[in-house]
Amino acid sequence: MSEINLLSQKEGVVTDKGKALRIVRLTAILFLLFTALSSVILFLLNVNSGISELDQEEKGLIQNLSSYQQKQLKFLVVNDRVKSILTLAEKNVITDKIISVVAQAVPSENFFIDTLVIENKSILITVSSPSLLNMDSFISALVKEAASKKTFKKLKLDNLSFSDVTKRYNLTLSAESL
Amino acid sequence: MSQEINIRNIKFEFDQSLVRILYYRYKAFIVPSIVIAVCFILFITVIIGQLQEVISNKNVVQAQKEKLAILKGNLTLLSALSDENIDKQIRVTTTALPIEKDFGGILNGIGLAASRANVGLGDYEFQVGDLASKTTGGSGLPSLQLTIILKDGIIGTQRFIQELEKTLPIATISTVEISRTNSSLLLLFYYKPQPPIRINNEAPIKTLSSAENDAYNKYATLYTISTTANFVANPLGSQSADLFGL
Repeated sequence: MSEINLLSQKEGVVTDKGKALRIVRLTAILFLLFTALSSVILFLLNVNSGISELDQEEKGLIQNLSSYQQKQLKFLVVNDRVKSILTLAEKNVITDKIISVVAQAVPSENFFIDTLVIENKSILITVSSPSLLNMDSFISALVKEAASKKTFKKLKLDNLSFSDVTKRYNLTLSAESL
Repeated sequence: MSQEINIRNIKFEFDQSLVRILYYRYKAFIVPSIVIAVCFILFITVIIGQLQEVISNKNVVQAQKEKLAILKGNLTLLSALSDENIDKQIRVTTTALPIEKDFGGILNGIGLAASRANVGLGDYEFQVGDLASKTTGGSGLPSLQLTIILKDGIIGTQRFIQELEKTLPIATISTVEISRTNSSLLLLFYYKPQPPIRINNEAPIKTLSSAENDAYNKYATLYTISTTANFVANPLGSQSADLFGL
């Protein structure tokens, strides 16, 4: 039976163990330093994050703002109402434009607008004149306006008739505004 | 039987001696190894936690700075506004778009528009219906319907509409029926009850856009002209101020 002497060590093994020990010790020191340093640095970073100062500043600003609360409320009311006013103000423009277009299309004399009905987007125009030339001029002006697509989306000639009683031509047009 | 006991004893002695031998051989490694292990545990449990806290604090600081910027902006804006101006703005906007049905203001406006347009005003009829009900008129705002008869044709009606646009409160034209000598207009006069407003300090106060500013300036001018001419009285009077507890 051969003996195994665990305590006997060769020269090379001792050197290896010493090297390993030095590495382990160095690693331990480095770990220790790293842990200590990073703990201190992170602690300082957390402590000096500035949150408390910012909180203080926020409290101060909110306190200052509270003295302007009435003004802020009025400002918000004004903004809210102006938005609604703007929406309403844009609505009348088209009605005014339609009337203006029809009025401008009227030839200078012997021409009568019997009815002009504007309801939502639908327009009904009834005109009369003893002259067909005037009718043509009126229709041409409206057709030109409809072609420009600025006021009318559709323009339709519904009826053209002549009345023996009044000795006038009667014209009915329907249109759809933009 | 005795042989079995011996084997057990041998094993026990062998383990103990092995540990002892290993201890003596590697005892110099024990302390550094424990240090490494403790440092590792500390890294996992404490340092990573602290690191997360630092990152989270950074985000909190960023959010807080943004909030402060909003608060400062709001404060600058509000401190730059004069009380006189904002009160005037309230008067202008509540006259243009009253808080409640403003019969007096409406009749004043129609009378003024007819007078300026040199158009004869015929019958008029308020279609109030149930006083508690609200007609929205397609704009989401409650409105008051008024049918008026003008004793004029298309040109007079056009002048009246143009003048009506220059009076307060704001009206929109729902239906127009023009004949040679008379015209019938269905007008909608809007009002807007003031909803409760919640102040949110964290939201930036929005100023008026250029279009809104133009609209406001237009009605402010009309309001000034109206009040100077003493035609339109503030329909709310001190009521507009009471809204804000003044």
